[in-house]
Amino acid sequence: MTSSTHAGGGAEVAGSEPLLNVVGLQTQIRSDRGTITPVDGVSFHIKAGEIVALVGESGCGKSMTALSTMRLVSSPVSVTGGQVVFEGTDLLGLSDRQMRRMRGGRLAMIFQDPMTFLNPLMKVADQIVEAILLHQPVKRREAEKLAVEALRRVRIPAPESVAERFPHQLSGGMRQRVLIAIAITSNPSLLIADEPTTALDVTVQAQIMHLLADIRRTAGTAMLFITHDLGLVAEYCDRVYVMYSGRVVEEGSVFDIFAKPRHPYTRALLRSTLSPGTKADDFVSIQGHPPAAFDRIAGCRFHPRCPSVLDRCRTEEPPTRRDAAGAAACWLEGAA
Amino acid sequence: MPLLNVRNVAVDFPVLVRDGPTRRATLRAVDDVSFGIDENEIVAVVGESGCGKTTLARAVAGLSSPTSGSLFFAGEDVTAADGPSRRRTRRDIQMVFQDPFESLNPRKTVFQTLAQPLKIQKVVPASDLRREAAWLLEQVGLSPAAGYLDRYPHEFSGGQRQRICIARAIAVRPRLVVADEAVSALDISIRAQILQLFRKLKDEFSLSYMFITHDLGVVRSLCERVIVMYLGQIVEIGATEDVFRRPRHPYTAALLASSPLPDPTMRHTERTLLQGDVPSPISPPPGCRFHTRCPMVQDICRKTEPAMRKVGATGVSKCHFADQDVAWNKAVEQA
Amino acid sequence: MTLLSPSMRTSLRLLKKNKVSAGATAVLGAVLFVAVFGAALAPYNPGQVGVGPTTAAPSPAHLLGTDDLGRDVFSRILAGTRASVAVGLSAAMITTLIGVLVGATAGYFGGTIDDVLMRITEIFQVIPRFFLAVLMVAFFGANLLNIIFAIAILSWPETARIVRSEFLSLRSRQFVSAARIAGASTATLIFLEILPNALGPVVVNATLQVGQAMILEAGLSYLGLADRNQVSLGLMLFEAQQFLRSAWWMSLFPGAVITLVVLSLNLLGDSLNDLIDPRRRGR
Repeated sequence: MTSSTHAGGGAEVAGSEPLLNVVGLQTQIRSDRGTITPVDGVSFHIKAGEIVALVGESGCGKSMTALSTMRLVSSPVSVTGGQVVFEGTDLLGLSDRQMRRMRGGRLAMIFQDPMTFLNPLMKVADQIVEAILLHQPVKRREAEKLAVEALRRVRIPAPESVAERFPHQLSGGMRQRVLIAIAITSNPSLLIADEPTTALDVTVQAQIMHLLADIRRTAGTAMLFITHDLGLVAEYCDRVYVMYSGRVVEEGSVFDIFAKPRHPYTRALLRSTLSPGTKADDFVSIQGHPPAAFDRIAGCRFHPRCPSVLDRCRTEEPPTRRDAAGAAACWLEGAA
Repeated sequence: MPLLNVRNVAVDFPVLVRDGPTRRATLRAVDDVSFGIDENEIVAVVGESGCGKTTLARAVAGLSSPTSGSLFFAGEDVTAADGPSRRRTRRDIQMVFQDPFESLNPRKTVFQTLAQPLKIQKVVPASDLRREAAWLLEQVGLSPAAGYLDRYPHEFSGGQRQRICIARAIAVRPRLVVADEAVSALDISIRAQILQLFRKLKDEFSLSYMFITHDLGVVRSLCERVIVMYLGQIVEIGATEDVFRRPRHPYTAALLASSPLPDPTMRHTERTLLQGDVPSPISPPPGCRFHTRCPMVQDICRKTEPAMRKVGATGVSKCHFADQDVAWNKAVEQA
Repeated sequence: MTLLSPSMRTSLRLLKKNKVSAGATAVLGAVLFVAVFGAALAPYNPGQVGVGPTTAAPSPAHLLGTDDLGRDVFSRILAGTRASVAVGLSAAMITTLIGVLVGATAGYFGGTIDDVLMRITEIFQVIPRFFLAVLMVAFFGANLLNIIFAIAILSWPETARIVRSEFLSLRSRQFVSAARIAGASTATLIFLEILPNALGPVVVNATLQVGQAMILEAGLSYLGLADRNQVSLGLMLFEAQQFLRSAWWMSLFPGAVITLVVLSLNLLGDSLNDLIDPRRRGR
């Protein structure tokens, strides 16, 4: 397969195992219209304390990759291949019970819409306490103290009073903070954040992103950050994986990706992104639109929209070429 | 004379407040707003949720009547949403909405959608409806149009739907198009396409735009002037480049500092983060409405509402310290 | 504009896959056929006395037996089905018409108009339906037209509430705003923009209303408030009262037809509902 170059973890430093190593992950959805493969051989790794971005447009499979990594998919969606090795354990081999212990423990996740995650009928304090009791051997009284402490850690003003409120009494930003508080009670080594600020106003987004960056700095929590916003990637992330149509098309450090993008899709994405920092008189857009999940595209999946398409791209899928700086799946890589 | 002239417009909503016993209250979503839009000009209205920008857009488009103040279009008073002069000028102001999945009637074909305004405003004789609809689709980049006319909205992607919505808006040859977050729901690559379409149509149909958005990247790349709103009020107006180089209101400065730049070499190292959330517009803070979150707040801000003052060549700012050289507007200039 | 949107056409295709609703649809098809062509199929004149012996059990000559006056039960069921279906369909139609008008007006305009219309609707809803129907028919006379009107006047509140809630959510949709900006009149907005999008639940409800109307008609007839000039399934049940023990076929067969038809209507309504409500569409 094209991702074979990634075998062995692909970590640059020999001997330092990545915290999370995902190899050839494949997720399929069965329906009466046939089987679709929203995640098709995705490989990536995250080292301890690193913030890694998984970036792409809607339908590229980035959220499904995150959910599959957490094994939070259910019928008709199923993980059909690959390995998800977290701290030395293949998560895909765990029993449901073992996986439940893993989630919310060493491995935590936050979502775009906190309301789908929070119980609307439970006080904030009780929800955090519940999460604490699930993973830590403490008494309820102790857990209540830890809950208020967790709210303080996510910089909620007057945490004692917020703890006594119900989710609907909180603003969107506050709810996301509560979700983060729940996620970090168990001191996870990896936090998966799926578009955590997309629904928020820009000033509140800045607060939440700042908070996440702070948690990484103080607790050393690594993060997988799912987003479509290249601004947030540039501002907060260390390394980037760019996804298109169920595949990783490019990976690299955030500086390399933004300074010298190698894949034409990454280049096009960057050129389409409007920056508040500079006036773009002639921003260039990509022709066409991202493929829908059930579109089957032969060869390179980006070829119908690619400005530098070769004959070969239409029929043969490009392999992922890797060097010290990163990797890209494009036929131009070898030719250049 | 500006094409659109908004004078001291306020829009109230009755609301039910549910903190404790439910009571009726009035929400002033737009409060004493004045500005103008010139012929063939693109003006952005930016602000966060609850700032009143969508309410303002709906009043300008004639979907609701202001509670007080007046709206003039090409010199004619169009304040009342159903008044006779509004009906006369219906054609002149059109709107494009945020959600391309909600703004097309799912039961109508593209042709039916486009034919409706053409018929109502008698743009072309009935026999030419199809040809006109096809021509409109080609103007928005959907060609060959014949293949699209008889399809239903659900057969299109988000970007294509937004093109159809734009075709509907320009069908009656308006002079002003109000675009309410018209690109916010779109993917990055599609967003750029639609923005280019807006640019192209501006020239071809000599349009003015009132562009409601929260995306400062869109503002800087598309719009000539920018209006910044906070809690129902305008806090700053200025030429886009002036505002981005040197914001004259601390809220504008905070918005800029909060907007991430797609360039890792330009990370905001020392940013002024605003604390807390936007206060409830039902009971806005006294004095300057921004004082509860303002990093530079002084005593006067808590007591006295600042007046609109002229700044720079063309701008205005609603800050007591707008024309002073203070830390916040210098800091941003360097960033 | 077509009544069925493309997505509903897909739904109808899915409907065919479901065996229960396919069965229900088949039963209803047969009933409709009988209602239209029943007279031609009837072996005897349903109203004629003495076409056979009195209270004869089912036999090859009289498939479902005869009644106390020697009329052929099978022929009477064919004729009665026509009357019951006619009552059911017309009552449901009037119900839907009133319900849509009231619900659409309340939902579209909101405010005081909504408050007033909804209070009136509630008054109709709290009155025991059957009791009032009995009173109305007893008062105005037991003929088919009065029965239909009595049923309709008592059934519309449910439809009105459904239409109102659909309108409340649809009226603020952006495509409605877009039509308003284009200059569309209020009538256009209500009937051409919003109503077609609210039809799904209305169609489901109308299906259920047909069954309910048939039951109400049967109930009224059973209490003796039937139109004596028109054979209906309810009238047959009424006439069979005295013979429950001695001539079971007189009550069993008309009763079974009503049960089967109403059951089929409910099943069809339920599966239509599942198909229209995406949350219940299953995956």
